[in-house]
Amino acid sequence: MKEKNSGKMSAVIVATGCLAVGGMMVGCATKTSGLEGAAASVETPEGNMQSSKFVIVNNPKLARGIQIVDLKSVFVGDMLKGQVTLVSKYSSTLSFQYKFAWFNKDGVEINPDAGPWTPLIMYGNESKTIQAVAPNPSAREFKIKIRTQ
Amino acid sequence: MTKIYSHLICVAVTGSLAALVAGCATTPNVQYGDATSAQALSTDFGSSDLQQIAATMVDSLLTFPPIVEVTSQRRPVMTVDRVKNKTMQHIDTEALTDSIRAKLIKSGKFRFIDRTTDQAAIDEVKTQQESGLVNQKSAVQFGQQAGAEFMLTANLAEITQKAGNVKDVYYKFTMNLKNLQTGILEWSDEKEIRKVGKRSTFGM
Repeated sequence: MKEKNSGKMSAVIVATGCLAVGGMMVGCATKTSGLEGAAASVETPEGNMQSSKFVIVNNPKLARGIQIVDLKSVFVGDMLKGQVTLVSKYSSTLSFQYKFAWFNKDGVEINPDAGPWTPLIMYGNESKTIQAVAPNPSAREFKIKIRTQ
Repeated sequence: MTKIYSHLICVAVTGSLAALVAGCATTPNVQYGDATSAQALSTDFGSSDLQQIAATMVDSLLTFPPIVEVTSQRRPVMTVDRVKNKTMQHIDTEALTDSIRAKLIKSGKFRFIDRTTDQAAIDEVKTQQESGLVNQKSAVQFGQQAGAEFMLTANLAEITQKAGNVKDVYYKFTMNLKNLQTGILEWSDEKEIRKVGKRSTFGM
């Protein structure tokens, strides 16, 4: 009987200990992952501009609320301008922040970490375009990073 | 036995709660933060506001069609005037214009003169001319500096509204590009920022 009870007790202690450790890990960790979209304007050997785009979802919960529906890149003079169209899939207001990163034709980032995280408010089921201009004329590709506040 | 058993559970639960609380506390409580973060801590003018304004102004100026046309042929020389700070806050507006100027220079589209360092430049040229130390073939001559063609001027305004424990602050930054020869404003744009803060019922 004594052995049975002590076994029960140790099981309870281990379980609560595990809960505490789990709580510590969850309690301090905030998800900072988000969505990433990339678009490139590359000149083909024939001299035409070809664009490519893709979206990476690192935070499925965020992707359920917001969707990158389009990525466009155009040249204004010789400066690359990026435009991203977002759609909110929630009926309530959502707050995000986004940041643009720019890359040259070799895929090397221009002024890493120079651009600011910009706050963005989207009302229920709203679609919104956000734009930015490359830091200099060498940019051929941009990336948009979106995460929660 | 049941009493001991319940005592042990109580101790374990208290311990786990203490661990939870202690788990979030690190000493010393100082760490590096993201310099580009958009985390608003108050309705005061902050670093993120400065960065957003600089980025918006530079993007707008670099893509304004008449400016694109001018900068496709040459790199105009510009100067920056002090920002008129019409807010009730003490803001280092030079940090704001410095950011804008640095971004414009790095774009490769504009060149700038800086009048704030003129005295040091005059002292250096005087030394080159008069000290007898410098070979006069390589000495810089007076009266050879470039004059600015355009001037960037700016205003920062603030409108504050308070209702109960809610404070709403609206900032409006306006920037103009003035042609110094003709006096015409060749470009102008605004950036608006709204910050809403709620004071807690207790404290503050």
